[in-house]
Amino acid sequence: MSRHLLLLPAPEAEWALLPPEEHEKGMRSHEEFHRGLREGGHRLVTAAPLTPSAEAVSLRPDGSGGVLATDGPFTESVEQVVGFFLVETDDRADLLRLCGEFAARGELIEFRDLVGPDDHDHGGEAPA
Amino acid sequence: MTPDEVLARTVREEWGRLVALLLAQFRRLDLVEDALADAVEAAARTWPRDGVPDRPPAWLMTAARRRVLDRLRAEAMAARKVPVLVVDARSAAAAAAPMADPGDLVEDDRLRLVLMCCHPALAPEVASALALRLVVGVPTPDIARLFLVPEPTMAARLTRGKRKIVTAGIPYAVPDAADLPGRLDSVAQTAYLAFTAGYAPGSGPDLVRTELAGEAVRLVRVTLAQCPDEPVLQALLALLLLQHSRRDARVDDVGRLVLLPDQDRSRWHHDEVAEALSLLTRMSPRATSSHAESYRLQALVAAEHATATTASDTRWDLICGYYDQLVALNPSPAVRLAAAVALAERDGPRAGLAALDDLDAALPHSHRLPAVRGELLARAGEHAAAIEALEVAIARCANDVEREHLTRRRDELRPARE
Amino acid sequence: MKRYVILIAYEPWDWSSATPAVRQGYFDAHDAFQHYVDEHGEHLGSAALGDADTATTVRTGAGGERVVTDGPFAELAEQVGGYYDVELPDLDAAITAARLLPSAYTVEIRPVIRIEGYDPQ
Repeated sequence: MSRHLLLLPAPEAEWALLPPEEHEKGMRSHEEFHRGLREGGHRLVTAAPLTPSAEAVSLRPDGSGGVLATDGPFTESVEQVVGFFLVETDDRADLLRLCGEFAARGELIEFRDLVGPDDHDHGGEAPA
Repeated sequence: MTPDEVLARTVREEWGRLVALLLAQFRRLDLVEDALADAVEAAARTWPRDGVPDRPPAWLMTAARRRVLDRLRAEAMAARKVPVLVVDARSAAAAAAPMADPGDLVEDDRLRLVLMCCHPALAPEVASALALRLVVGVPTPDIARLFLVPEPTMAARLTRGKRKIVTAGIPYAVPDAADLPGRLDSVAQTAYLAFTAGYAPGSGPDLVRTELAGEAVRLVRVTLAQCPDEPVLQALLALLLLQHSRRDARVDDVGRLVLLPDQDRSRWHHDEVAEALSLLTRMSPRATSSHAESYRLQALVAAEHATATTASDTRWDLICGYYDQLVALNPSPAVRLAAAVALAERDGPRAGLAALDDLDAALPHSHRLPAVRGELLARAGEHAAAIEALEVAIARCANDVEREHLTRRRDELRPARE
Repeated sequence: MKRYVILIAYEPWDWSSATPAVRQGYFDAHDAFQHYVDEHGEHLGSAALGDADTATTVRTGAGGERVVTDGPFAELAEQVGGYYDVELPDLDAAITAARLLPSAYTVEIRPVIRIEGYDPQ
């Protein structure tokens, strides 16, 4: 049993400007990903979209014991994380394959393994 | 039965119930049909391989639910807010119960679906099309044929109807008792069209899709049970029962069409005839709408056929009288065509043919008009013209059993040409 | 809850010539409507509009310029005379409420929609 965090970096401004057919195509691609998760026995622990990166707050030490809070993400880049999935599975290879198919359909995915085979998220839900 | 046959029968019998349950739970009119269609596709792939499940409707229900959930999760990631149906809380909760089986549905739920589709805020032709599609599961091409429009027109009509329901907030609910009678004319029209779709379907090999016709009868019964004194429902049920009672005699043992005069009357369901006659005599004397009166007159015609012991005993004089009243009430081409047939029976083929002359412009795609014309021409001894008319009918007829009958009739006439 | 704008239209007539009894009838009908809305949903806004002959129309001419003229944009027997902006459970509730308004009115019930990508708030 292992857990993986799938981050979806995407060019934020572009999505809003795409025509409805592209939105529908994207929606169907996500549907297919969910179907693949289900049929492959992978457990979707949680998933969510994120509000735009412009609404993020970046916090860092200000060098004199306090905090420096700035509007926006840490890194200025065209691609910002727009959402994430936390997936639990016994079959990492199949999950990675599914993500590969998702990406082939047009999605950008950063696939991260969580540390340790029996990782618990201490602040969140109990393990299944 | 083969897995394909089990699937086909499950789809025919359960479509409306599955739609009703899915709508109550998810409130997404735009997703429910696609999800069910996907589930049916999956069943067609997996049942032959894995065997038919113990409870086929529950299998389809689960598969459709999963597909809707996949879509909802995809939309959640896009943070989309999509307009949903207005559904009362009780039925939404009941439908969300994980073990909810289509068989557990109260009749109320399908009535809800019918009433939503037949809401007065929807144009009548949209309401009927939606009810046929969602409640009875008639395929879009067949609905198009029923309404004499091209298929893309009907598909667009259905889409617009669904969009209006969601955007305008037409509720998925049974209205107050005070509002119910007003909705019933529309429901009656819808059920009648659904019945016609089963009784003489436009496409495909079966002349009579008895399950579909039976569904329409059930629909009327369910609605009548809620409103037992409504003349429009009483008259309609009587009419449907009388026509439906002949379902086992319309097609012979090798699948060929048998016309009314030649039918084996012992195969008619006489209990249904009796029930219909009883309804007609018991009908409340309340002032009736023109729809109720139209159904009543049609039922009286059907009652004459049903009570004649042999075809030659049929009281065509009475029938012609009823048709005169019907044409005065509603001079639509279909009614005038039926009236012409009755006229021919009473006064001879030439009288009938004369009555047909004005109808070509009104019924340019109908196969029934040239079929009737061909039959009357044959009776009048004009075999060459009869064959011509039958060939037009054959070219226009999309129903395999009816077309086979017309072809046989044309071939019978050929030797007489010499 | 769904949001509806209920548009009221009627053939113009002379309110000033109406008897007190007739006027009270109108007031009572509007009260009944408001009462129903308050009981089943929320009243977001409303207004009575000046008659069509007090209207001014701005339209775009053939050359793309804005043209200002006297009068409403559609010359119809019935003119829009007012509106209610309400929240109600569903269309049936809106229809029930609309039936409470004076019978001389023709009432149009339009659902309010959100334009994706545009949020005036």
